[in-house]
Amino acid sequence: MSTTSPLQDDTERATGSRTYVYGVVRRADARKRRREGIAGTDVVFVHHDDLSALVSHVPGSGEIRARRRDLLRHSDVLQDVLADGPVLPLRFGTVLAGDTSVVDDLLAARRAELLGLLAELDGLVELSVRAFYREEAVLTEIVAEDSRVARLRAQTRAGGATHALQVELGEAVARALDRKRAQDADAILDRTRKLARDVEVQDRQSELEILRASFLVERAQVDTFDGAMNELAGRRGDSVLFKYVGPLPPHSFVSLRLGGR
Amino acid sequence: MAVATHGTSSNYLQRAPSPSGLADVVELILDKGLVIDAYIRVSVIGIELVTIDARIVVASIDTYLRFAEAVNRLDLTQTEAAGLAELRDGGSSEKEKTKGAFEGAKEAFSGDNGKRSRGRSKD
Repeated sequence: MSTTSPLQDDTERATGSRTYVYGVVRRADARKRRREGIAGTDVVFVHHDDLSALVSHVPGSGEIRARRRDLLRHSDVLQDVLADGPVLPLRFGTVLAGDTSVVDDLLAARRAELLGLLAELDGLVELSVRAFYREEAVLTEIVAEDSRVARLRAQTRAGGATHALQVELGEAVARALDRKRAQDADAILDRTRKLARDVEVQDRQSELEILRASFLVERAQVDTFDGAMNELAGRRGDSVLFKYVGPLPPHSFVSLRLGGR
Repeated sequence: MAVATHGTSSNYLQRAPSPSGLADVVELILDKGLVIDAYIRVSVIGIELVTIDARIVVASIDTYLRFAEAVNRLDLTQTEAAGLAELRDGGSSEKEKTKGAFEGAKEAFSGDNGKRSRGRSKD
């Protein structure tokens, strides 16, 4: 199972090429996996001391162009190695000038910080949670719960609805939706936060989105987290759609910014 | 390690053990992960474009899925009946056809409103 490739192999292949870096793992956890990397390349390791960088060699000497399908590949490669131990994901699109730079500027230069982060994140995974309202369902709830909305709706439906009245109704709905969203987001966070070491709440992307958050969770707690999500879906599932992905590498929890020496 | 949770208490929990498409990865890996200072990096062309592009694709897919869900939930008997009535009324008089396009559009719009609220009140 452990077919760690020696440094020589990788370096040889890298001659005259650029090196795309996916992430960093402990050398002891570096196991080769069959997975196509960026632009259809092989995924290999560059080792230094007790650290290994997960890389691909970008062929040719022309410009390097990012492509949409590479987003998925970047994610897949990191996803694969998560099973072998902690992994520090690098930002999509990180390319260094060959393997020498990977060692000199990353693995050797930042060894202590990288090892520290790996130790910190050992046994932890990211769980991504997004929650959205189903439009009809949430509007039905609002009409039922908010007497002002109900009254304005009755008035506008009775015919002869003025523009001003329509706007008033819409505004009332928007306010009610804001309130509901805050309540539902709090309910989700109340139930899940205590199961996580850290939470990162991201900006909402649409009106109907309730919450977009990443949780840093111990592997052993993932089942418990599943249970919490099931419970939330059971309680609000008629009106709320939950999208729940993980365990993932801790993309959202590696905030370290690595400069040069 | 957890696997996909089957038999969830509701259809409205979509559980995936790993990202299954662009929508799942975009927000996870863009603007995230360790950052290495620019002067060490080799420049890669088009990252911003890919980022913007991917976000647009994801936003459209989200919208399409919402439309798909909404359309599937429509009370079709109601809608079809209303649609037919509208067609019949609209074609009943030659004079109607000569109305200005703007006026016609206005009519269609309010007709549509009425139809939708009628459908909704049945829920």
